[in-house]
Amino acid sequence: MTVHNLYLFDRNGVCLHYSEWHRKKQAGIPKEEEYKLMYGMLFSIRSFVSKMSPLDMKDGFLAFQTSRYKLHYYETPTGIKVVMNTDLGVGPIRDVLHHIYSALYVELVVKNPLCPLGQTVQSELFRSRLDSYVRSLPFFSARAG
Amino acid sequence: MALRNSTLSGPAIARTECAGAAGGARRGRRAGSRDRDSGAGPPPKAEPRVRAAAAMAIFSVYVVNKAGGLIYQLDSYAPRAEAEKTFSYPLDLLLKLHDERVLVAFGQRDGIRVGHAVLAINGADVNGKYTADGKEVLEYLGNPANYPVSIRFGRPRLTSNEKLMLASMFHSLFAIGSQLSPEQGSSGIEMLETDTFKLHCFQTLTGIKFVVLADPRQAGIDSLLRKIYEIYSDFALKNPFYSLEMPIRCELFDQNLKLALEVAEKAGTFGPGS
Repeated sequence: MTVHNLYLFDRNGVCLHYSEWHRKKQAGIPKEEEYKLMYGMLFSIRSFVSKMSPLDMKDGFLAFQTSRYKLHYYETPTGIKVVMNTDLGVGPIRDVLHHIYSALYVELVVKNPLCPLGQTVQSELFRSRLDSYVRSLPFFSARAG
Repeated sequence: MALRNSTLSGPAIARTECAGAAGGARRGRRAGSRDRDSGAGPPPKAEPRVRAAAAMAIFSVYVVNKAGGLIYQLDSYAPRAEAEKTFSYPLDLLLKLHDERVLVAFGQRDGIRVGHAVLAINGADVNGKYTADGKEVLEYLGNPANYPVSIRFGRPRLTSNEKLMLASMFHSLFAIGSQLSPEQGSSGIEMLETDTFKLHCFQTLTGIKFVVLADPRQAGIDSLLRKIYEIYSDFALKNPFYSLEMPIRCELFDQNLKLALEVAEKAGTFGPGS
């Protein structure tokens, strides 16, 4: 089991943070373009899912998987989106994504007066804490690479 | 619908119903069956079937050709989340016209939620933004003389145009999903999970996509998708009147698909988790 990468978007589609651990393939486009593509895909999936759903939804879209990876999605009521790509063996990780939002993003970015909201997070503390949190996850395997 | 017409005949209905408020997925929650309940009690035979339907269900099947066009669609089971209520003038909901439908814009209450559409007025199904007898719904509800009025709200059903659009939308999402893969050689989206349903997709080597929407707890969808592929090969491809990439209108395909869905729904209840 392994974690490939993590995207953090705000509600306007700005990529607040990106980090990767075991990523074997790049999308073949500049990073900025990749963020836009990812956000656009999530935006469309959200609207797709809300139209397709036979019942009223609460949490909405949670995850999708392909033959090689699984994308986990968590969105807060304020529109912050946490997206983590892992391999297929990882189960539901809503609590992990919620922790990244509530214990890391809110504590270290929102409550930090030196971090302007709505643009890429520059805080080194946030980056390192996030990195060590992800590395400490039970499904993060340092060997896979 | 005929059942409903017979029980709710005119505007002079004092009873308030709220079928969707319970939020459960009980099948057959209709005004008519409610009446039967209050009279002679529920028929005891229906009980196990209702429970099976609540736990397991396959909602619909889509077949998308390699260009992203929808060539087949089947709705096998749509859970009803509807709420009916009798209103007096003025209406305490804000309605708006959107995409030729009358939707609730504000005033969520009693199982009526924002985004729900007006489905029926006084028991007669509305037709888009028009009532059964051809008047505009908003105009009708704006006239105090028509009150008290009983309105049924529910999630808007997908029109065939929307289904076409959603199918091609999924086609693109499928492709983007594989482009954004962090791993080499990934396919597109095979399974998409939400809190109300799971979407399973199987793409054949020739590019046809079979998509099944099912309850999140329904097991055995992977084998069902292979089975649908088999049915497609046997009853659409081998039909001399079927032309490739075109909408599937084959009776045998229809019949066998419905049969396979039934089998999968039953088997999923006892089979191993997928």
